[in-house]
Amino acid sequence: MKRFSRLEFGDRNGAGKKKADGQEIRDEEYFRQQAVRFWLAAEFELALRNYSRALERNSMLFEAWLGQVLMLIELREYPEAMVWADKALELFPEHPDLLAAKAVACSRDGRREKALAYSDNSISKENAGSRVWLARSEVLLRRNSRVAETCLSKAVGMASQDSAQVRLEAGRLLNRTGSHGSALEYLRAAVEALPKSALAWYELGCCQAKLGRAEAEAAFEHTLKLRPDWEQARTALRRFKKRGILRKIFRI
Amino acid sequence: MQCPQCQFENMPGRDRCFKCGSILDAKDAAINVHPPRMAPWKGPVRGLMCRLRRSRLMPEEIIGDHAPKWMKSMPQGSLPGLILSIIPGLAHMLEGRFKEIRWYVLAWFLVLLIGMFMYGSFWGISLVGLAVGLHAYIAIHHRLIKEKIGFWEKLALVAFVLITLAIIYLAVPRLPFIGVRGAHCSMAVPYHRVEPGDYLLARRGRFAPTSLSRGSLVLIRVRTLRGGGWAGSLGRTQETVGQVIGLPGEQLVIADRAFFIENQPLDPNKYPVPRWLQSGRFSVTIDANSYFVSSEYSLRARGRGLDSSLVGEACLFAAERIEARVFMRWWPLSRRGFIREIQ
Repeated sequence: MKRFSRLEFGDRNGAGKKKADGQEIRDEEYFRQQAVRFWLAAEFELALRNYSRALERNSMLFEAWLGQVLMLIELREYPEAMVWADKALELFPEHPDLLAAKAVACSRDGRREKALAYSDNSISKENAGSRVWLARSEVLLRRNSRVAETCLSKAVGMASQDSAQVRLEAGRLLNRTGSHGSALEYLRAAVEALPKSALAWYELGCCQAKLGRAEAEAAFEHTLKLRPDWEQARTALRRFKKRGILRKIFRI
Repeated sequence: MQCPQCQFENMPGRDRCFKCGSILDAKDAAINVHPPRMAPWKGPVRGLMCRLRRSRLMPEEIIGDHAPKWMKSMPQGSLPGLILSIIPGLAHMLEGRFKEIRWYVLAWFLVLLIGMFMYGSFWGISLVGLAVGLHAYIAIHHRLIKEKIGFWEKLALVAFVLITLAIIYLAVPRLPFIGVRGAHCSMAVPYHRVEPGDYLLARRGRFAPTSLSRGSLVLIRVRTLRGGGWAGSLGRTQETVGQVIGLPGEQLVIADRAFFIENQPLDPNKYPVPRWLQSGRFSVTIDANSYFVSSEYSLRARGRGLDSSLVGEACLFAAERIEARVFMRWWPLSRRGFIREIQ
């Protein structure tokens, strides 16, 4: 997918562009990469700010507009995400990824019909990518449709360069909608590809906790190792440790 | 000018691409790249609404296609603000905009306080009405007053908010945990220092047959009776104040401008006979679950003479029809005070 095509993670792809004195050049690409790093660390507020800073440098950077909409969704500010998707659609009319993001915002806000309409529109575009199919599967999952998993497989299949992020998103989606068994597979793959992502580890921990697996504790601990200040992960770990004897026996 | 999206060559001077509609000079134009953010207080409200929508307890779109134009033109996020503005200034306060509206909130508070103090008089009711108007202004100011909607849409919206608030103001005193009702008295009871036209406060409650004593002032709803026209002064149901004269199971006689219970006369100073019962002699037997409540009802008998059965029909009230017990004279100020039971 385009959005992550030029992304660099950890030390795998080397550092960003540097000035003569060794300092990194703070251009739109730098802030976009920072935003993705913050997203993978589940620091959505900071990711949003970095996308804004990237747009301050280049207001036509599509990935940043899409990233802003996605971060607003992550922050559960759905009406704002819809407004912002509309604004981005003024600059990039009928872009399928933006339409898909708007469909996700509508779906999470409980507006099923609107979500389906936007998803239909995004799918009808020629260049519909994995983001579009992820949104489609989310919209359909919330409508309890059986086709949802096919859409999800299609989304994962379409992802090439950024398959780890798509797998993470797919795992999160399944985790959120209660399909923890299916989510586990995607999340394990995501964690293998993104070992420094606190978000991936946390989601894996949540999924394992829901399945009653003892590995959840290790996943949460690893999350806290990557991001020690994450209160949500700490609470999840505490809850998992304190779960009752019946839950431990029956793994519920 | 070449479109950055579809590479279509547009005529010079165009703002948007002729082919795809995207903005042509976006790079040069100052675009706001900072998204709108949600105020922190909206989170729980939105969460609740989202849950209600997901569980299909609430329609996905409150303002549908069939809604009037002014309602459609309401900007997103107005509704929570309007709901929070049920407490004047709360929505402003949570958004850190209280300064804009502080004098209106102060004026609303003072006007409401004075209005409530004088309630029952013309000026008291007018001041409470003014307080409703100020409240409506505060609620509308929060979002809509500066929006670009037409005069008539704005007027309709003001009317909508005003009516909603008026209903709330009327409903709040009647809430079960407050339960205070008010009514004008139409009869004089010298012992209680009550004159016709006084505004009395009553506390709502269901009464067991034994809980009311003789002489208690109560709030009753008088309704039109079948075959007749025994009603309140306007010929429709209305609340009025009456005095409990006869208790369940007693035999009551009205004669010589006095009440007689089991042939024993009652003190006319404590139990005055209303004007319409002062001519003639009537005898009423009160059943086990009823009270005889006298008041200055206006008789509109059509082809039916005043007799004991009609008096019984008008004045006998089942315990559950007695809405509240009067506990205070509120207006005029000179007679303000609590009403005690007759010993």
